[in-house]
Amino acid sequence: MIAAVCSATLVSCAAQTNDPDQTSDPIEPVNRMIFAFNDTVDLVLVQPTAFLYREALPDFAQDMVHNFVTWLRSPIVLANDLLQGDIDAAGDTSARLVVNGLTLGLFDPATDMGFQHRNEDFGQTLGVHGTGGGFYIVLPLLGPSNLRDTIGLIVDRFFDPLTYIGHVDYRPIYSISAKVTSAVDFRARNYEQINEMKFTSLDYYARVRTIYSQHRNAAIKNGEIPVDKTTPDMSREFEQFVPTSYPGDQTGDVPTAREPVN
Amino acid sequence: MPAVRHWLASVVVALVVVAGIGSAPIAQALTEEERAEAFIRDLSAEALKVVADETLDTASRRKRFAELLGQHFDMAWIGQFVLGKYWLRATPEQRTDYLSLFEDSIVLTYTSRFDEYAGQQVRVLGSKNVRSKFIFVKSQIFDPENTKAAVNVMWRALPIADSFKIVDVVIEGVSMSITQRNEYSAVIQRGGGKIKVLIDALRKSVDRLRARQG
Repeated sequence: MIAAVCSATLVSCAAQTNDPDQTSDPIEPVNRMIFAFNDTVDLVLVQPTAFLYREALPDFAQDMVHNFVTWLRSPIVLANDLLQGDIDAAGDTSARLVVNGLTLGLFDPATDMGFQHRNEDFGQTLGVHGTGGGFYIVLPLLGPSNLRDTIGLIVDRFFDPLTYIGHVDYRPIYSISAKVTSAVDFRARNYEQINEMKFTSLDYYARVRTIYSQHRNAAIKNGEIPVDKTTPDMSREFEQFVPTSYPGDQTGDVPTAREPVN
Repeated sequence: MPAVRHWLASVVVALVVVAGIGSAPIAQALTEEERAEAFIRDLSAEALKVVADETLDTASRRKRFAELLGQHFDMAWIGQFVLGKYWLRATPEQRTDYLSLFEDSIVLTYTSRFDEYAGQQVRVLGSKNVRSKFIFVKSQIFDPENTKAAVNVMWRALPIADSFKIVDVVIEGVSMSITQRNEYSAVIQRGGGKIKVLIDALRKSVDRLRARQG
C-alpha cells in the first residue's frame, strides 16, 4: 500500500530533493505569506498563551500536560512503528500506551521502566520506505511541512482514536483541543529557543525551512546520523570542501584565532 | 548491536584514559579517535566550568567563552564553507569583511544566552572515522536533574597538527554549518545574488546582538 502511495503521488518528489543546497521550494512566495501569518498568530496568540502557561502552571502540571498530549499520540506512533516494520519500537510504544494509560497518560512511568518514547508519523514511514520529502509547504497554523509530510498528516488522522471517539458533533473539538494544547506545550518548552532564533536569524523563514528538512531527515533515520562521508542532509559537501584561501595567509596554514569580540 | 558495543567500548576506553591521568606517555598510545574524544571532553568541561564560574563577572565569563570558541573552532574554515559558492565570487575586501562579521556573529550568538548552559553536563559517547578526513565525536548534553531530556550533539572535528579544530556541530540531526549556509544563500539569492546584501544584513545583526549584550 505504501509503495502504491509513493509511486502514484510522489514520484516527482525524489527528483526534487537532489539539490543539497536548498530544500525545494517552488511555492516560496505563497509559503512566505503563510509563514508571516503563522508568525503573527504566534506573536499575538501562541507566545503569550505559552508565556502565561509557563508562569501560571507549576512544573509538575506542565509535565502532566506534556505527558498527556504525548500519550494521546501513542496509537499513531504504534501504527507507524508497525508500518516501518520496527517490532522493537512497536513493543515499547504498546507498553507505553498501557503503562502510562494506567495513569490516564498524565504520568510517564514507562520511560523509567525503559520504554523510551520516540515519535513516529506517517511522513516518517514514507521516508523510511524511500520517499523523498518533495517540495516545502508551510501549512496555515500547523507550520512547516513538505508534500510527503502533509500527506502523512492526513493519513495519521486515520490512526488517531480521537477521529472516532465520542459523539460525532464533538469529534473535531477533541482533535482541535489536542492540537492546540500540543502547540502551547511545544511553544512553552521551546520558549527561549524560538524567541532566540527569531532574534538571531538573518532570514527566519529560510532558517526554519532548512532546520525542518534536516530535522525530518534525522527523524526518519531515528537520529542515527550516518557519519561516513555524508552530512545530515545526505550530501558529501563537507568531504569535498577545501578552503581556497584564508585572508592574509600565504602559506596555506591555518590562521591564528582573531582577537575575540567584546 | 555492534554499533552500541562500539560506543560502549569507546566510553570504557575513555573512562580508563581519564582515570589513568592524561600524562604524556599514555597520550602517545592513543588513537586519533580517542584523542578526539578527549579533546571534546576537555573542551566541553572547560566551557561549562567557565559558564558556572561565579568568581568571574558576566563580561569576563563571556570573554573567556569567546576565547575558547575562537581557539577551538576553525572560524575561517566554517566561514568559507558557509558562504559556499559565493566565496569564489567575493572580492578580497568582501572576504575579509565577511569573515570578520561571521566570527563576531557566531561568538555573539553563542555567548549571548550562555548562562543557560550552567548546570548542564556533557558525556562523550564515542567517535567515528569512516575513511573520512574528519573525526565525528558523539556526545550528549544533559541536565543532571532531568536526565530524560538529553540532547544529542555530534562534533565534526578536523585533525590539525597535534590537535583538532571543530568545523561543525550537529544538534539533534541539525547541522549548524549547513543551517547557516542555507540561510545565508537564501539571503544572497533574495538580494539578487549580491554578496553585499549578506554582508550588510550580517553587520546589522551583529550590531543588534552587540547592543543587546550592552
